[in-house]
Amino acid sequence: MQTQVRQARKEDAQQMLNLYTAFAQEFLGPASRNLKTFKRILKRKERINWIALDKQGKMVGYVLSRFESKRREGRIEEIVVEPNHDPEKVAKLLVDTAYKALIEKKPAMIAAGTFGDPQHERIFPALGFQPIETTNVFMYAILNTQKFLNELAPIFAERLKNLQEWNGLTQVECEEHSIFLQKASGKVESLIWTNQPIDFKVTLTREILTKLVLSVADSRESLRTGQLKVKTTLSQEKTTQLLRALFPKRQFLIMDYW
Amino acid sequence: MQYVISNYQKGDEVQLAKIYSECFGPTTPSRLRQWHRVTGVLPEHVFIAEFDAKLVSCVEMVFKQLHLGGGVYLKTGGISGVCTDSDYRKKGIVTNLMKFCLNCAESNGASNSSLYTGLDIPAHRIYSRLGFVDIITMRAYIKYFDFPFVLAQWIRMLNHQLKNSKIATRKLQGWEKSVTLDFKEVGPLAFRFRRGRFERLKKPSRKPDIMLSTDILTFTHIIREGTLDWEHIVKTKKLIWKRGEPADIEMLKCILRWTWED
Repeated sequence: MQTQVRQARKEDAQQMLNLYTAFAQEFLGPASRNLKTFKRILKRKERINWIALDKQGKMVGYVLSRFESKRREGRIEEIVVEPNHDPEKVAKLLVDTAYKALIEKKPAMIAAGTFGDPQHERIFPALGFQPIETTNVFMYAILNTQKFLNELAPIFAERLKNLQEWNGLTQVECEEHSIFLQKASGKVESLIWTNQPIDFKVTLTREILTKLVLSVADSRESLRTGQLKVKTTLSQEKTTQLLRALFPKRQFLIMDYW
Repeated sequence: MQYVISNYQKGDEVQLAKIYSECFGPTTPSRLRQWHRVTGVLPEHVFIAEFDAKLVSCVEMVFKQLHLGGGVYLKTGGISGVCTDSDYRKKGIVTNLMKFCLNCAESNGASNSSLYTGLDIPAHRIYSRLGFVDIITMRAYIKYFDFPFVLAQWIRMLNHQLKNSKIATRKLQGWEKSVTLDFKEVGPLAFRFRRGRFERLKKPSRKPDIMLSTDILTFTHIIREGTLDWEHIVKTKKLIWKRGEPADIEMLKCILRWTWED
């Protein structure tokens, strides 16, 4: 087999951080770790962490697990795979190794939990784990709508820039606060205010803006249910295309808790 | 009721650890200091409420990064450690502390805030009123290898929690009952509450005060913050109530879910 697994060591902290950063780029959600975080993770005695290496010896994945001997409780906490590698294959290999190592310690139970990682759904039921929907929830609030929209403007601009065959003026309005984005000849400019006719205006509440930005709601569904309103002269097809460009569907995944 | 809101000062962790213990489980002042150090919480981002020079409530703010795609990160004001002494709840203290905390987030350049909580606890309503929206719930995966041991550990944990919970101690006063849980997979396992402590019974009593029949997965849902509703599991016969007075069943429900507020 090309991928090898070994137990993580203190000196792996930097590589683990690099892997974590690359992995987190693929998802939306809280992700703010540094080298210190990984050094701390690797220092803890109750932890048994595993890393996967490719044939060149480059780290391509890791799994964090731990065992509390007093309670005989094993936990598999985080599975991270380098985006260019087969996530299922590497993740399964890592979890199998972590699982076997925990089994050797004679646990009374093993638990794993996730806020949105699709890997868990594929791997754990196959190992005989029972899924439980918990009441633990991540909540989010926009405190300053205009500031939030201003912070989103560069993200929206980049997304519109990548949208082929469309030029025009877009307005995103949330509870009387707006941002204007003008796209012309491949460039997108953010305007403070304009009296030009708007080609595409999206009006939405703070709640639906939050859910769309964090990708836990669908823009087409929100339009259908009236939670999001669009004022435009564009065709329905183009409207859908623009909404998809502004609010693409991504995976929301929580990597960090506090 | 008049209370004073201020920032955390060195030494407050002694009183704060007591409230933490009541709300989140056993905590010591040194664990609390360690938690603040690890999470990077600054004293000026910890808001406390004092009544008659007694610390009664606390809310903390820690700034984190939220990835929004394409390598763009947004500063988010992460709320944590929201707790109130059970004798001072339902007086709007946490709502006020939260407002201070959210103002602090805004004045430190965060346009947004985020937190972790439970869907079925009173605090969830407070957060919703303050504009927080549910984003995602946690999914857990569990596999048991020695369930009787897990149950014994759970009973030990109940005693730890009871030590710090004033409401539970009050409500359980004078309630001395034995409970048999008949699990489809492992048979009957029993415990009782006597002289202010939970005790595991090696042998189930012949005539327990309460007897329930269920399966391990349903039981796990109840004790591990699962979303299954009690009425639903009774209706679908995932849990069968074989013996016990309705008032005792209500008390057992509080014990299993460890939620004591009205």
